[in-house]
Parts: sequence; structure tokens; C-alpha cells
Amino acid sequence: MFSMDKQYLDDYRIDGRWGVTVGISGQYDVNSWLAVRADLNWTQKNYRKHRMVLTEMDYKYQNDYLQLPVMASFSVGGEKLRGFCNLGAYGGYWFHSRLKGSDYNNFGQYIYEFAKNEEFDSERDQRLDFGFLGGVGVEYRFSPHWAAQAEVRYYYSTVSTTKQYMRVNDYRYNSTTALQLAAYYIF
Amino acid sequence: MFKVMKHKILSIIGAGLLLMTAWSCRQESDALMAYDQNENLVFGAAEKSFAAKFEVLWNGFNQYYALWDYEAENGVDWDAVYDEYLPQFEALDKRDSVPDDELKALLQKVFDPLHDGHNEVEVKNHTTGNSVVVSPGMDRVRLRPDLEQSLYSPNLKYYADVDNGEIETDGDGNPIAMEHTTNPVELFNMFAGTPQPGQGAAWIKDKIQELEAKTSPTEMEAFQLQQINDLRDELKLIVSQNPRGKALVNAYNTLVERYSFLNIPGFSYIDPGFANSGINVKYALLKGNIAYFRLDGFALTGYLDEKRSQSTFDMSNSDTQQHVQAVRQVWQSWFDAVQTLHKNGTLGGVIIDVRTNGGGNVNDSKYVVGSLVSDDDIHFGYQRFKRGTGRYDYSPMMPAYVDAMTDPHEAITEPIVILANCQSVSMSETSTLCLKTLPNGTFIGKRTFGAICPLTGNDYHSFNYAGYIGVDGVTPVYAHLPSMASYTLEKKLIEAEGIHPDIEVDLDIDLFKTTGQDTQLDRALQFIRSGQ
Repeated sequence: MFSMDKQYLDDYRIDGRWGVTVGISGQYDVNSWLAVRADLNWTQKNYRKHRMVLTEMDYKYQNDYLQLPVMASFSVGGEKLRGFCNLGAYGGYWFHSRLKGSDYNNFGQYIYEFAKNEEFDSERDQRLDFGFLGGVGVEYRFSPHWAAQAEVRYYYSTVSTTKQYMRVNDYRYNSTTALQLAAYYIF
Repeated sequence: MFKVMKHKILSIIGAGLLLMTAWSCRQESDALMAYDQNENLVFGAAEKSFAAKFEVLWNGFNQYYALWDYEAENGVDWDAVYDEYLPQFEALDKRDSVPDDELKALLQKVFDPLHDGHNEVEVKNHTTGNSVVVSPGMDRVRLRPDLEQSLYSPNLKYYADVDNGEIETDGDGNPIAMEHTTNPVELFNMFAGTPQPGQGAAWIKDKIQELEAKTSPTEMEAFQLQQINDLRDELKLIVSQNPRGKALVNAYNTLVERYSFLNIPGFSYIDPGFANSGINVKYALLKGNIAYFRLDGFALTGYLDEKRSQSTFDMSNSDTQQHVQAVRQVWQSWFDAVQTLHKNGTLGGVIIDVRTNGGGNVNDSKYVVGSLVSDDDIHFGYQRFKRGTGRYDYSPMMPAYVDAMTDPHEAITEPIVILANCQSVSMSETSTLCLKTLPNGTFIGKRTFGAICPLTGNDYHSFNYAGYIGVDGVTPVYAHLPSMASYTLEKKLIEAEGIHPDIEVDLDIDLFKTTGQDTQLDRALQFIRSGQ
């Protein structure tokens, strides 16, 4: 989900969009209920910006981030099936952006469709990301060395995607919910 | 076990509290106003404060102006402008009176560095009651050394003289040339200025002499003399006040209504539609079957499109009908000549003259450059729209098109020249860019004005959430600024720079003033006739 102050742009709407998250993970068990975990993943933070009156304007953003979440993992349960809660922080880098959709040219009075990679603007775009995360999930250990996890994780960015390049403050943030499935090898 | 559980719970709570504090790490954006409507909350303070006027303009430009990345590349730091000039406007608020010139000079320092050629800022000086207007584009052009050349309107007097050998003639030996004007200033001057025998000012003068010569005038003659003298005085007053546009038309038509009973030849109503859509058009078939067309503004659509004529003018008025028909005839004569000669294989070339043409209706493209190409729209560049309140919130770049003519016609393959100068603005420049996309198109003259980013009406403000600050004549500040950036086919912004000619030629002012010979038109004729 992308959040920004729409101010007086009354007919603008911003909706979240589905994306992909893929990565690798490592976990060190401190004790039976506490572990430290780190991931390295590619996560898309996609959203749609469109208008309710000028419906021809419909922008679909695909934003690709490389993220390094580090978290404490609290778990509870039995040998085979355990529930867990992850709390931590992450750092990320916005490495790619793509925009597709349509817009209206009121000079030529036509609808323009487009799909293009977005060029980053070094003055405007904040490509470094940082924030906090929280997740809940279940782990099933189906052999001494293998387990599967399912987790719903929420990334809460505390860094605006736009730098404050104007004296007028304009903050825009990503909040991302990820549904993750993982297979673990246990050493 | 209990200890372990206690540690678990405390750890989870601690981490949870840490996360909750994260929610306070996000900051709030500043609250912004919309500046396109007359809202007291927005403009109230600006009624009596120069600092408030500056805040409105600075913030309005910050949110609506479509060229901030271009300005940054060209060294404009809009935040530094705020820091530098707000204190100066605050200082004006400490004074009882601020002269208009001083206010204008300060506004020019703020806005003249901006490159857009169209934008205009109007500020009401609440200490004097007057409005001050700043136009960066005009301020820039006034500094150009070639400005004087653009002060002379093209005329065909020299070329239409058969003895000079530059014009084709009809079967009776008459020059093939025609022109008509609906420009209110020119119509007014034709009546009250230039003494055409038997009409207007000449008729008034002769009539006064005739009536004053009577030793025993009748009561009616005495009354008529008094009324004609009153009319002459009122005409002189209009001349001294030098109104323009609607003000001139209204003042003149009031006199027409009041003094119509005098039956003065040529004392005709000027349609109020001519205030905004007045136009001067000329056509001549120059030697070598070169079809020349001149227009001083892009307002043809109101004359050539029947529906638009009905909505633009009072077509129930016979004088208006005659004017509209006359403009149609000039354009049609040019268009028919181009098409007929091209089909016969005898067209020498085409010259479109947009020198000292302030632009106008983009729809006119189909009647000018668009009438010389196939019926595909002309892709002349790219446009990018403002799409949010941030300075750098823009749409993707989209192709920019203007309409070509869709009525049956043939594309012209003979040389086409467009003549333009430093006061060829907006649609004149778009037409020039269109022509330069053609393999047979050539631009001759002087570098254009540099106002290619178009303006749109306020009804389009909500399309782009940009374009206007305030309401003209109502709010204490008003600005009309571009909501889109317009690029060439090479994706270059040339705002404030203008279009450079393919062949640069100066107008020899002395030669023009003494003989009417036009060195820029001569060069266009030479190019078409010789290819060089």
C-alpha cells in the first residue's frame, strides 16, 4: 500500500497491488523460543494511482526492492508444529521501477497508453528504504532437517519514497503485506 | 518454566512497544491549498497584504507549474526565491503606499527568471487600486535586438502592385490579392482614423464643414451639427484612452447605438466576438504561382466552421455576416488556389506568414499547415502534464499532435515556407514545428518567441489540477500558467529559446518603410523559386 497526502486532488485514489517476494533466509536459534533471523529478498511494492472522475488516468506502478530484514523470532508450540511471531527492522534499496497504464492528453484529446521503465530522479527519489516489520506464521517440521513455514509479514517503511526536495514537505510511504512460504533446512 | 514464560512475554511486549514507536516515525506532509477558485480562506489575506499575495503566487506556482525540472537545469532555485523575496514583500506591508512601478519591478525579479513564455501574473496593488501585470515572455522579447522588425505588420502593398512584377494577375489584368480584417482596433481606425473618402472620419469632417457653412441652418441641421460634434469628441476620447479588445468594442458600439440616426457611412456595429476572435487575413498569388497566406492570429475556426460561427458571433447581424463571409473568402481563395494549382502541376510553392502572430486556437491547425498535408494528424513533438502537487509530479511524455484537415484535399509536395519572427508565439510556433516535420517545409525569418508550452482553459484545470491561480479580475492575484510541458520531436524543451530558422533573414526596416518591400518575404520567394 502506498500512502501520500492527496491534498485537494479529490478524485485521486491509491490502491495496493499484488506483487512478488522471493528470497533466502537464515535463522539462529538462541533457545527453544527465541531466534534471530535475517532474510535477503526481492520484494515488489506495487500500487495503483487512478482517478474516479478522469478515469482515463490509471497508473500502475511496479517497484522492485532488495531488502535485508533482520528480526527476532518468537515461537511457541510442539516439536512438529509451532507458531511464531517475527518483530524486527529492515533496510532496502529501490532498484527498479516500472509504470504502465493510461492517461488523457487534453490538448490532443486522446487516451495515451504506456508501459515503460521509470527513470529515477536523483533529486526527487529516495531509493534507500528503512522500516520495521512484524509477522505471524506457522512452521511445520516434517523431518529432522526439513521444515516448511507460512508467514504473513507486514513491512512498515519509515522513509519517504520522495526526498524532501522542496521547502514544502511532501512525504510518501510504502506499507507492504507479504504472504510468504518457505522451505528450511535445519542444521 | 515460569521464568522462561516471563522472559518470553516480556521480550514480545518489549519488541511490540518498539514497533509501536515506529508508527511515530512517519511525518505529516504540509497541508496545501487549491488556488484555482475564489475562496476567501485562500485569497482573503492577499486582499491587503503583499506578503500574502507572494505566498499565494509562490505556492500556486510550486504546485501547478509544469516546467520545474527544466527550471532547475537552468539554475532556478524556487526555494531560494521564497527565502530571498518573502522578506521584501513583508517590508512592503509596513508601508502605507507602494507605487505600481516598484511592485512591478519586484514581481519581475521573482518571475522573469522563469522560462515559460506564456505565463502572466496579475497582482492588484491594494495601496493604489491598480493592477500590475508581469509577463516574463514579453519582458524577454523586449530585450531582443530584432524586436523592432516585428513591430511592422506584413502588408502586400508593394507586391500587389502589378508594376513591381511580383504578382499573378487574373484574366482582366487585376492582381490576385485580397485581404480582410475583423480586428476591432483596425476596424475602429478604418472608421475614426484613416480618412477614407465618403466614410467615417472623412465624412464627419466634411459634414461638419458643410453644416457650419450654412448661414441660416434649420433646427434639424443645428441639431445634426451638435450631434456630429459630440460624436467626434467621443471618438477622440476613445482614441486618447486607447482601449483594447472588449473595452474598445463596447465603447464603440455604444456610440453606434447612440448615433445610428446620423446614418454615417461605415459606422457599423463591431461584433463583440471580434474582441477575442478578430483576425486579419491576406492572400496573394505571387509570381511563379506561389500562394501566400497571412494571418495575424489563429482564430480561423470561428469563421470557417459554421457551428462555431453561430456560437462565436452574432450571425443574425448583417454586418457581422459580411465580415465572416469576407474572412472565409480570403482563406478559401488561398486554399482553392493551392489545391487547383497543385492538381494541375503548376503550383510553385506556398508561403504561410505567421510573423507577429500571437497564436490562438489550436483547432486552426487543420486550416493552415494541416490543409497542406495528408489527413493524418501531425506529430510535431511531445507533451508532459502536471500530475500532482509535487514539483516533479508529471505524466509520462506523450506524443503531441495537431489535427490535419479531414475534408478531401491533396497533400502538397511543392516547397512550403513559413515566415516567423520574434513575435510569432504559441500556435505560430506549433505551426512552425509542424512545418519542420515535412521534408518540403522550411522556416525563414528570425528566432521565434519561445512560448510553446500551451495554455488551456480553466475548464481543463480539473483535468490537470493545474493551469490557473485565482480568477481573472476577481481575486487579488491571478496567474495563467502552463499545466503541460511541450517538447520538440527530439524531446527538447525550447521554452524561452524559441525555434531557430532554417534560413535567418532580417527585415530591412528602412526599405520596408519607404517602399513596402519585405526582405524576409523576398528571401522566401527566392528560396522557393531557386531552391536556395
